[in-house]
Amino acid sequence: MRLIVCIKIVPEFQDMRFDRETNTLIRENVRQVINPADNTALEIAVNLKNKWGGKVCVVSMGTEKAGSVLHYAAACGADELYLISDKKFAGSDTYATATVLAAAIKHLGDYDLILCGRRAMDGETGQVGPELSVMLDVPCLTNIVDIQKHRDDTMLCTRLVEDGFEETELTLPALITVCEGKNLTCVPSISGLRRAKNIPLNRLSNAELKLDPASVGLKGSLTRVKRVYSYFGAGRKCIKTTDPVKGSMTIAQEILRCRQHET
Amino acid sequence: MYSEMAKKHADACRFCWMCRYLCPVGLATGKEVNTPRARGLLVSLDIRGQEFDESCAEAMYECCLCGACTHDCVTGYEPPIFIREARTKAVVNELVPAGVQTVIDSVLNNGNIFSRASSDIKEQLDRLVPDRKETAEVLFYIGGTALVKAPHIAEAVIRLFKCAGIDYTILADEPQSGTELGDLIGYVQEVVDSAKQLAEQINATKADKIVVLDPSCARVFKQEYPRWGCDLKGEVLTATAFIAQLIREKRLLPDKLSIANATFHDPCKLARDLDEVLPAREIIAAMGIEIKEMFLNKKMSKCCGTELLSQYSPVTGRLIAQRRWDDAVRCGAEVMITACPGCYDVLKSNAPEGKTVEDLFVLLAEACKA
Repeated sequence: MRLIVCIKIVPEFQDMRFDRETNTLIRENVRQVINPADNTALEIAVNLKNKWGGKVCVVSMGTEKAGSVLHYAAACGADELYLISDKKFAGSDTYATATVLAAAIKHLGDYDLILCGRRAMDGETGQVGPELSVMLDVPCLTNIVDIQKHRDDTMLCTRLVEDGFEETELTLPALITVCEGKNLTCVPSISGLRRAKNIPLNRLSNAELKLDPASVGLKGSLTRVKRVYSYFGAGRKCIKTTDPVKGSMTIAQEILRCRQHET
Repeated sequence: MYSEMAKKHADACRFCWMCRYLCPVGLATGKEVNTPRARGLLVSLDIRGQEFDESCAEAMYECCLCGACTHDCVTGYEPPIFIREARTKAVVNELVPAGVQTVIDSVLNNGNIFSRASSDIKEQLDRLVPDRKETAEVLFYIGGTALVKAPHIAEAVIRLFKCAGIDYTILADEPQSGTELGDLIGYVQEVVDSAKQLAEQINATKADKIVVLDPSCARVFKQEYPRWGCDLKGEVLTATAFIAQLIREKRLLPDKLSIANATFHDPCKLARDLDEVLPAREIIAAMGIEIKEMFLNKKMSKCCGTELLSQYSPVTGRLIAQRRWDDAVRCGAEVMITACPGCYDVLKSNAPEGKTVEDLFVLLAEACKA
């Protein structure tokens, strides 16, 4: 079973700062970590590999600084690391990013399952996974919380839906997007750390992917961030009560008062 | 190799060097390398490409992980974070000092730091509670240090439970909590795996409350287990907090004890990490004992040297414990009361002539005639 995990390196939440001039996140001198949902995707992939055999291949698009963070993925159980880095890819939006990732995955050859986080904590769009599945022409299931092998070519997936969970059979090859785990459960082991020392970081650039420069980076992006602003709504007048009876009475009286006011 | 968090902490220092005056190891040995800042510099140099060799590994293990350096640091600098990761690196690269490796092997093979066979631990547990129940309202987790070095403290707590009519049980073969292994090799998957096994056993007792004798174990249960995905169903309480509550509820009615010139040594994990400084003092006051506070008390408490460091570095451990006794003597105390089996054993082994160390629960059991 060949599993590909797409990982985004994001700024640590506590350190996040914003450049209001350029409308972009400041990534310099900020701790970089694996996006939490991608970390869970990695953990699921490693568990599948440990149970059913195969290889876990991690793919990430970013700068050279991502290298050390990717080695953490190797220590957690990844077998192959690929860093896609090229100045031509800088400024890519979700569509352009998916274009690059799709080209890289095609370059890497056959696969059974692609795992992505359902959204990145910096952009929060949740678009790259589904876009990637369309570009690779494979089925996509989003918001996965658990996945088990069902038959040779199918997986049984548990999806988070609005009113609970849904179990869906997924035919391989396919792509899933994974929900954030509630805990930091992907922890390197001593044997994993020893093994990781011998796993090289493979680099891919546009020289290998041969993408049209107009289809990637800022030029290939279909969206632009025009303005970022904070919305401060009008101040609300709150009445705080810890007694549920008193609280209900207050709400009822307020509704009556508003109705009287309307009439 | 280092996490981004560790890198941030290793580089956060403003070089005020104040932690130098708080580090019990640096104060005891007088070596510059035994200061939190020096360890931070070694990690910073490692990150920048300097070789991390045996001497660096040795410096990383010359630390109690007591957290004194973190308490009042203006930068929020937390050396235990990068020191644990540096220890992981030492293990991965096989640079661990021989004495430390012996202790690591003991934890991995026997579940305790004292090279005591796990069958001995089981025998001790059977002796403590011969009529052990499978389920109960309260699970009493004793910890390897008390089971090997101070079983009479566990006995005292059990007598107090019986006196207060508590429905309690213990585990049949108490697996390690991960506190010592985590301190020795860092918070790696092997530690998480052992924690998960223990969490399963604890949850099988269906206990509503998990009362933990060793503050170090209580700390990992409360602070690390949730991060590791180990879901303990019961509420985790330190034995100190639980017993103080029993006194408040008048389920324990201690008589006054006539102990003069006593002081209380706050265990680091209890005071600094769990922010529990009052329950122990409540229990002491309930026994009518007036304490003379040492200069470094409550959250500023100075470490006794820890049972763990004393195992692989006995000379340094002794020096640290002696300095804590100096603090006690300086405030005119002749009796040092503690609330941690590890502190009790270390301070007892290094007590000056004429000075004694007493355990809080043993005293209370005496006061309650339990």
